[in-house]
Amino acid sequence: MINRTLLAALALSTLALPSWAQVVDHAAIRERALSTLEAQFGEFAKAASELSEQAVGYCAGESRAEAFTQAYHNAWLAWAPLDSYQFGPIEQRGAVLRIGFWPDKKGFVGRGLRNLLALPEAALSDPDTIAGASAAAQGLPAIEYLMGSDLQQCPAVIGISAQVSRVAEALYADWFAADGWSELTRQAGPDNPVYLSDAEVSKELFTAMDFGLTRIADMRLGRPMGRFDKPMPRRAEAWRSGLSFDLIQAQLSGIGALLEAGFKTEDNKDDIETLLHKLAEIQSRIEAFDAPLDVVVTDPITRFRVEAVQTETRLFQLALTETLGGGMGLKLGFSAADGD
Amino acid sequence: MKFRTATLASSIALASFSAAHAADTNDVLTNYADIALAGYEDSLTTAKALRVAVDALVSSPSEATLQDAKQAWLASRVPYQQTEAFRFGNPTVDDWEGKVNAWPLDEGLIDYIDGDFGTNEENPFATANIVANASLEVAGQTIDASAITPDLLESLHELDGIEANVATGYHAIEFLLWGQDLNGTEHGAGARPASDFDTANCTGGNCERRAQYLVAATDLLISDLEDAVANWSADGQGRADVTADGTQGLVMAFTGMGSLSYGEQAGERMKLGLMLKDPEEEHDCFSDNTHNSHYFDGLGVRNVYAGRYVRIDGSVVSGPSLYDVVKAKDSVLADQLMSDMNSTMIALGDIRTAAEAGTSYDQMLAAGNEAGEALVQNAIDKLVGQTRNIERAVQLIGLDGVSVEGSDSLDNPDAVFQ
Repeated sequence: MINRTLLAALALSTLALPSWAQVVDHAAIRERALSTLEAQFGEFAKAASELSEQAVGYCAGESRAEAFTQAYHNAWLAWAPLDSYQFGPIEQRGAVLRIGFWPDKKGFVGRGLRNLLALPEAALSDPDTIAGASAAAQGLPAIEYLMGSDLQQCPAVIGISAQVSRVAEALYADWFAADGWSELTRQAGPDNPVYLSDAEVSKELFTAMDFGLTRIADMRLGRPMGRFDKPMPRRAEAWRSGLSFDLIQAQLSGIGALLEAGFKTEDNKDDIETLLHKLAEIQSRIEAFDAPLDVVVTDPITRFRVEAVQTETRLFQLALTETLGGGMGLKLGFSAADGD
Repeated sequence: MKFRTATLASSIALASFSAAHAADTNDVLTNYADIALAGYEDSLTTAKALRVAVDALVSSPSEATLQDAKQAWLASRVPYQQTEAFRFGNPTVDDWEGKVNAWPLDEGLIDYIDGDFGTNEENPFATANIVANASLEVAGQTIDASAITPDLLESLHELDGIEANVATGYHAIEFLLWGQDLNGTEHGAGARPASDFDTANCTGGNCERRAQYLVAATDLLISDLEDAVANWSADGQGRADVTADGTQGLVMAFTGMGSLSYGEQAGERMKLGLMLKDPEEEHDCFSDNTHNSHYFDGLGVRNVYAGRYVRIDGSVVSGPSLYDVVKAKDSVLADQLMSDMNSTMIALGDIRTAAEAGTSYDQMLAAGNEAGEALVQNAIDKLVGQTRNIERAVQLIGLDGVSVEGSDSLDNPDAVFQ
């Protein structure tokens, strides 16, 4: 395991403090960031709506399992960037647990589904039934589990998909309706219940990017890596569908999009470009694997390469902190990653 | 909040703060460490009392001796939960903590369980039942479990790298005393009969090994808590971590408050259970003591901020506090944060009030229990709210985002207490 102190020393030695101006237009950052978020939440709502339609077609025997499988993969990839935004509407709706329940440390998905399937069959296509069930049985991991099991898939996948779509639409509205969270960020100030200044909004977004990187390095990569002599392939997110790396890539792309659109200014564009270049390098390293994450962690040679990706991700995280922290004076806040 | 490395924290001087308030900071951090020490001392004292009660139970099993042991366990949780605010931000403490308070657990690793409750298809040891089996097959190797000793339990903890394989600590002991809570989201805790420890009239099988397990787990808890007391004593690493460098110490203290409030308590321990609607997903699921565990976690955070801790004998440790540090710069924020914490304690107190009156925490998690859900959600909201002002306090006093990882420490866990 790489020592954090060493990493920090490395990062410090290679990074000079950014030279760009200290005067930061946080309102402009917010407006640019909000358009990125609106696109990302919109993508997810669209993919979730398609998922819901495909589930109905699949259960009616009108379309093949492959089409439905593709639809839940698409929805999951569209969700991946949103995993970083665990504040505001996502937090209030418990959406991370409802949509992408993971890690599953005690087999909650399987247990939740079995409890769900014990309900009358007629109720299972109703998203209200699903919404009242265990969060672990409400989302994309539950669909993945059902599709890979010999449990009865229909009509539960109709209800689960409809519930995913409903949450996706609600999140979009919570953020971007006239009185939504985006408006709350625009009205940052002394009387705002959440954001006392525009800078606090920037801090929230910066913390979200950092949190997303922690989720990738510590959880999405770290959990399946286990110890060198004891990899834990079944701890990989979405190992059943082979999406583990794709979800990481999608989340990294989301972070890159927010960084570029939101935080790049005329003054700091060279530093941000450097960061985006580092991010692209990490993504190329991941692209170069020719097997899924749960497979590559079990081979000492390829596990080494996973560890390198993890290290690069942490170095990127430090570089991001140095760049935005140093140049913009932004500080990281607490995040949901701070628990166990 | 991510605090990156200890090295950075001590190398980047925060002149405006440390120059103006250096002496105060030392006093504040000494009081902080004194409260930690008192909390772990009280935890040790109550664990020793638990050991006495456990001894009485296994030497003379009866409903009365079992009840006494349960009472001793409940009492031991009061000081321990208040120490959790010292975990996050301090890697020495956080690496140690999993030995004593790991959760959630697949209790079938330890002892018999009801077939439909507590199984985990993803853990091959979820029903390993150490009490019933004198040897275990792990990854092609045979583990000799014929004598259940503290060493054996330590070696089985997080068996095969699976976190739910909790073999030691408060929750393992809790399971041995109460047994599984088979009431779902109906009222009622675990109801293990005292005869489960009675070698003459044994129920549940393997009563001698069960008693051995209970004694060994309690002994191990005591020795682990002795380590914790040493850690916060005059030459201890935990104390040194927070007192050697004022800035780093304050970073650790605030990290502990914020990480426990938000990611851990509001998130992992409360929101998760609420969303899973799973009665096993409560922190003290066998004893139905979760309302107290949450309450004393919240109080532990407030203790750190207020610089005041009420010991188990009623005496009070108090002194210069983080509140004073914040107040010197912004008295409105200092009072607002104190008011946040008081509101949190009222919200956690509401849960406790309902639970003590007969509506236990697992009932509040039941699907369709809107009143219960509202109580839990209100406490979550208060914890999230106070975290925002903890962040503002951190920003105000100029602590940079530079020190140790908040949790899931990456650095050498084996170095602890060596």
